[in-house]
Amino acid sequence: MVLVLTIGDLHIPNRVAAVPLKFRELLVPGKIQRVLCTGNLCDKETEEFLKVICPEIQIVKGDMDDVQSEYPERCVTNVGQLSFGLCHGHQLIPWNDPNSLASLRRFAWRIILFNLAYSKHRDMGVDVLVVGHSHSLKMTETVDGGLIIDPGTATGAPVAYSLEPKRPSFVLLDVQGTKIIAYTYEIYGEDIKVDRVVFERLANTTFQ
Amino acid sequence: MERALRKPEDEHTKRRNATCLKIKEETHLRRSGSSSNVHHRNDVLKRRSASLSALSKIANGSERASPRNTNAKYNSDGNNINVNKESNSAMEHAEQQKLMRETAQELRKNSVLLRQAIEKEDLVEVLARATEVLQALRIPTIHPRLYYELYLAVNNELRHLEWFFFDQVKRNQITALKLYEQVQETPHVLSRLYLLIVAGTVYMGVERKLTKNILKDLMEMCSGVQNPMKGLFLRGYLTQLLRSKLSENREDNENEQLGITTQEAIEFLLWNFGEANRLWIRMQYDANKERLKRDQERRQVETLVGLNISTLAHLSGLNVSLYSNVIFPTISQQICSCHDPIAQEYLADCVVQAFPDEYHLQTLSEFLTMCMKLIPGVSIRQVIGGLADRFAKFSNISLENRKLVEDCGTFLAFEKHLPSILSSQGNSLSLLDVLSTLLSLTQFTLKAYPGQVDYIHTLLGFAIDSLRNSNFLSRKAQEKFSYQSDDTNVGSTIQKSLQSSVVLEEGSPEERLIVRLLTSPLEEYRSITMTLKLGNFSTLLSFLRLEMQRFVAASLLRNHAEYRPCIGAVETLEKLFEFIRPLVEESPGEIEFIQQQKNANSSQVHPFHAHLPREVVKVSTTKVRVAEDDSGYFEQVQVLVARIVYLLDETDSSSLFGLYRVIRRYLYRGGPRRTCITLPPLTFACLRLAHRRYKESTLPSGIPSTVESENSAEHIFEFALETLSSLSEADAVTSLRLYLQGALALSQCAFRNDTVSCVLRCYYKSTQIYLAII
Repeated sequence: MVLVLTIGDLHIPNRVAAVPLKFRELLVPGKIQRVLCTGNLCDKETEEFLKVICPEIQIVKGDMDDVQSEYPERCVTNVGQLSFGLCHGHQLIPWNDPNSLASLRRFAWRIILFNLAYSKHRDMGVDVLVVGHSHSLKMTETVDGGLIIDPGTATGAPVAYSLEPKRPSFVLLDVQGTKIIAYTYEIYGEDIKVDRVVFERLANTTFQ
Repeated sequence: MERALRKPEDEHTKRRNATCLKIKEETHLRRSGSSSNVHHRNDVLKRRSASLSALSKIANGSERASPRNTNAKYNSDGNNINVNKESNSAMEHAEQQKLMRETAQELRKNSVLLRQAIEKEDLVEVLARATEVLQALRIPTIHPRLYYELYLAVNNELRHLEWFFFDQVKRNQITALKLYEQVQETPHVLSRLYLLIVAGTVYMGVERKLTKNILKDLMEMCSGVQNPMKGLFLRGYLTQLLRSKLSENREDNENEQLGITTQEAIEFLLWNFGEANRLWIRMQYDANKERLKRDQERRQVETLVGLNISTLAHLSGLNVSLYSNVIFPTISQQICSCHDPIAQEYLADCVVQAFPDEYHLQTLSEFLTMCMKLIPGVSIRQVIGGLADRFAKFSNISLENRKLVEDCGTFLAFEKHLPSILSSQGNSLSLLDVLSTLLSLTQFTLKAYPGQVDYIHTLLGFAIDSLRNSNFLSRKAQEKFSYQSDDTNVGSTIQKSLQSSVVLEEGSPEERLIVRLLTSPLEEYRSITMTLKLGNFSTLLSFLRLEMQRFVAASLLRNHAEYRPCIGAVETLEKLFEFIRPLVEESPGEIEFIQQQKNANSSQVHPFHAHLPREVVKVSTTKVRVAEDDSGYFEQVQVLVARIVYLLDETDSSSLFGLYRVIRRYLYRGGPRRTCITLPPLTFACLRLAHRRYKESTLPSGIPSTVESENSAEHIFEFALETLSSLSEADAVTSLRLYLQGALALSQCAFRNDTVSCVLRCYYKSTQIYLAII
């Protein structure tokens, strides 16, 4: 049993001041074993904040992160028996499209066709893909038994094209073998709403 | 069995009056009669007069010639003084050690004999052995620390003796009176008095009605020892024995247990305190030793005097009125009259620490008046700071305590007396002392009066005054100022010296204290609006060097709970920027530094960027970055400045734009190094506001869209684009991103014709920048 925190799109300080207090009270050191961050932290202090929660952390580069930062564009990592792919998602064309996301998880054909710049990237070939950029929490199971998780924005930062404040959220994954229990945390006004979703048998079938 | 025990008591009560008279007679007899006693008393009187005359001699400034000090007299010429003194003290030390060893050995031997005698229950032998044990305390002059060791060892034996006496009296082997009399036949004054104290306490335990007389008798007898150190230890012993008895003297027994009222107990203790204090002060006139050493020795025995005060504080039946009417006036009079910095400081501190806070609150004014009379050189910091620290803890405990503190007008009393206390100390009070006293008071005020910004304002004002008045100008700085005044006009020099008459050295304790004076209200309030009410804040801040000013300003921004919107008016915002000006503005030295860096960068790729791909390095030449040691810290702090945008009250969209303009005006002063961090949040906030204004204007019920109005969405877009174009010089990549965001945001709004051109301009600009980057 491993607790994995997926979090991203914080946009501190450019779009919001800080992580909401309610989340900071929840996200304390010593409980979480892994952190997967989809990027757009925009700030060293935020990175430190995440590293304090858990030093075992993977961060990928978002479109608003410092050009000089050393985060990779994407990365693959294993948790338990499952492989996790991490990518911010702004690179996809069209972005936030279920098909392009699914193929990022599996094959890279579509990406290669649309944008030659990405042809150097292989498909990620992972069981679970963690992406961001849309600022809205979403979890979709693909037809071939994979999972795509978008933890949304942890700070409620608005998106550039609508400028409306979003709902702060993150997702905590309890990985047990090939099973994932996902807890979603969202702030509604003054309250935190927690949901529990179970994804059974996520074993990788795409390569067979 | 019970009856048997009670019987002697009944007999005692019957004979009470008779015994009372008897004991008076006895004392009388003892004073004039018994030959050996007379001899000793004369001896003592002689010694006392000798020491008194010595005292007056010292007061007149003449040296006391003591027969013991012949060595020193011979050595008092030429350059050899120091060498001789050293060798002298080394010799003395060795001698003392030898003496100590011998005495301790003797003491051990005698203690064994005493215990054997006690086991045999032979009173006569016990008394003889006890006298031998007590011989150890009659050792000639010795260092107080060594004497204390002996005292402890003897004390231990006397406890056995006390138990033995008590047992003897209880089993009717001897009456307490008889014992009390028999003990007085001991040959030497010091030994006799110790035994007398032991016998006296036993006697008191049995004959409760006589306690007062016995105490009085003991107290008078104790004056017979006029050697300061030995007398102090003797009186310390008396207090120590009384201490447990007096603190157990419970009210529910109607004071019957000891046979004296609390009032009487207080009188005795105050008397003993006065005598002990006198002896203690006399220690400083021991001309045989140099001053520093004497002071050290006095410090080592101070607890013997303080023991009286702490015993007073632990008296049962003590209350506020007794404290304020009887105890405090006497102690304070003692303290004021002793004209000795060590004694005054220690005793004042003792009073502060020993008695409960409630008492201090009631007598605060009197206490502070006493502080005014303390002679220069007493550490005010310790006395007043200690008191303030206690009050701070006290008011932190509960709301009722806090209310009590308020009701007593505590702060007002401090405010009223503090200036005169500080001025009464004159030059002997260092800036460090003043500041640390003020810090303690500030921390107390913050705890006890959470909402009273005025009070903190006053305290900061005191700090400013002390900084201005202090003669702390280091010689170097003075030279600098006089050098400056040669060519610049005098007016500005005076202005300058007024502004910062104190040159605080880097990392000096004074500097740290000022920083803490400034930051402790911030940490307590955790609200920027509260802090902005502190008028003296920025004045005091200006005394610090730039780095520390920045540090304090950053903690002002950092100590605001949860970025709760709090600024609604332009004036408040401007005030905030005035407070944090050191953070926002570029200092002259910084501009130079950046220029140098730029020059260096133009010739070669800066090592800081060497690991990056080529194009990024290109970007970074347009984006001015200075690779300093503290660049991480610098960015962190500037992020705090950038977050000011989120402090604004966003409810009224029409006034918000005015505030944004103020922010930009101040942020522009920071130079490219700051704007690349501080401007993006502002720009994004502007885009959001424009969007919001646009949506409000399209609402049917909304304010009719007046394009010409100052706050229209178009204007705000224009403003944002202006900001972006200035940002593009500092940070091309960020401005490119923001241009694209701006274009996205604009395309959401269906403006009239010029909107299209606006969007086009955005894209045009971003393409330009993109091309420049590639």
